[in-house]
Amino acid sequence: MLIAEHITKSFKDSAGTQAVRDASIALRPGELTVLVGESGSGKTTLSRILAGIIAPSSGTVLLDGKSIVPPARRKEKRLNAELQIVLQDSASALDPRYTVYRSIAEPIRNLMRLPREEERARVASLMERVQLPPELGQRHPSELSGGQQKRVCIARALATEPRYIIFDEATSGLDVLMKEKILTLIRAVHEKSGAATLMISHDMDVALYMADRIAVMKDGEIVENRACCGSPDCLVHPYSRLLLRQMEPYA
Amino acid sequence: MIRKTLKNPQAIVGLVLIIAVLLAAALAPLLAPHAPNETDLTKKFAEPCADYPLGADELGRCELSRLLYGSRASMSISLPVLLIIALLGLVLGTLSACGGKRLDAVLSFVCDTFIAFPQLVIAIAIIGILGSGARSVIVAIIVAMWAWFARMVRSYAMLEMGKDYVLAARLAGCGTAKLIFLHLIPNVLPQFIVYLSTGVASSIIMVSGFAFLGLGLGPETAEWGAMLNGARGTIYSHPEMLVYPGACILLAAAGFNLFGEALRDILEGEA
Repeated sequence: MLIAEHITKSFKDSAGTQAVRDASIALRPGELTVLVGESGSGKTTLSRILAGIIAPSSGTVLLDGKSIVPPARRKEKRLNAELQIVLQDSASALDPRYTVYRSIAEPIRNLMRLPREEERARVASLMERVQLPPELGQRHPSELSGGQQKRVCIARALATEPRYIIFDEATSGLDVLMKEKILTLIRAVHEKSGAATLMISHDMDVALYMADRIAVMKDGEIVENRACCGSPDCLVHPYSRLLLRQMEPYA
Repeated sequence: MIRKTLKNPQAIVGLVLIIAVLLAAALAPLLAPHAPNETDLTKKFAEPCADYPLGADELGRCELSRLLYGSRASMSISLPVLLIIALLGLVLGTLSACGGKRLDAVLSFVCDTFIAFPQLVIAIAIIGILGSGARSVIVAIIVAMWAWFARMVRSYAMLEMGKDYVLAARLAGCGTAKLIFLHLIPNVLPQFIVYLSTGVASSIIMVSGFAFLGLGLGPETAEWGAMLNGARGTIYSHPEMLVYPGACILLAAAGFNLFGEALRDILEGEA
């Protein structure tokens, strides 16, 4: 289980911004949690703390009972293999000089060290899993659509079969049809892998559509965190109700 | 990018000049009608003729042959120097950008210290310590210029470090060395090549400048700066003896500068 306990994160800017305040959250195997909140509520900061990318000002992150201390976490291959994050901006998250194949193969090469034949087979299977045609393997990110770039990022994150996956605003910048396809893909990936999955979103409709559990974040605090059956009635906090009233029904 | 380069008139002019200089350097033994140091006092200040197409200098040496061999001297120093500076700049600049705050602070301090002095002052000091000669010139130019290249690479690498693909590479298990050689260097290389091509021009001018000041290659060496220095006494009687090497320095430096600036314009257009 991946647990964040009493996380606070302050940035050393002139305003002394406190992005996360005493937030606690747990990612359980097989459970898809959606962390929802307005832009600037601290969702991405909390997800990056959970992923061990940035250090909290206070609080602890425990992976299977062991503390993750950034930035040392990045050097631990085992942790990288077990915990992956799909970054928000897919266009920026892919090296412009790398082909699709090379991008997906990179974690396999670094973290699994498979023979080349097995690597090729694994990349092919990952591309198939995220519904990317094999002929895209030699293309560069600039030659892909936003949806295809997102799929490459997802395939790359799945490469080492992580037990914990974080999707940061997985559908941002995508049109409605592509949004639905990516959400369906994430759901399928989650169900097949059985990984503990955290989705970051500012759309309450996406949260209701996807979540086994919803955590609602406001001004750096988690104001509500409960299991969700897909019905808006699951959420009772006034701020959650406010977000529900503002949502547009998911197409 | 290659197509855009070939459609850019400035790049074409630069490229033609660069190729002309490189061909002159490579084919000097075939093209030169005489050996560069072959003296014939009976031909002192000879007018241009079939045997001496650009005339002869005060020792009766063929001016054209010396100019052709002079391109060799400039290129044989400038290009290896730039290659070494390029490697130093790329490795130290990217290491500074992604090697942590402490290493960045140390490397930035060292770079700032070198950048604080004019390049020529540093180079003259180094030649003063090491003495004249091609090896001293090479060391002097490297010491004088490396910090500018490292600083430039660092600033581009810092921009790249802010992009998510660097974080994604870290999460994909890339250590610092892999990050530098597989991600950062390939991504800063296009801008770096632009800077490098203008750096070649500076290096050519520096090599010739040292020779002109009598600090670099010996006066007997067929080198543009040394030829310029040697011809100072004939400025009123035979001004062409100054014009020829001066024009060679100008055209060679202009070629690399024009090409580099055209490349920069093309890259900025693509960005």
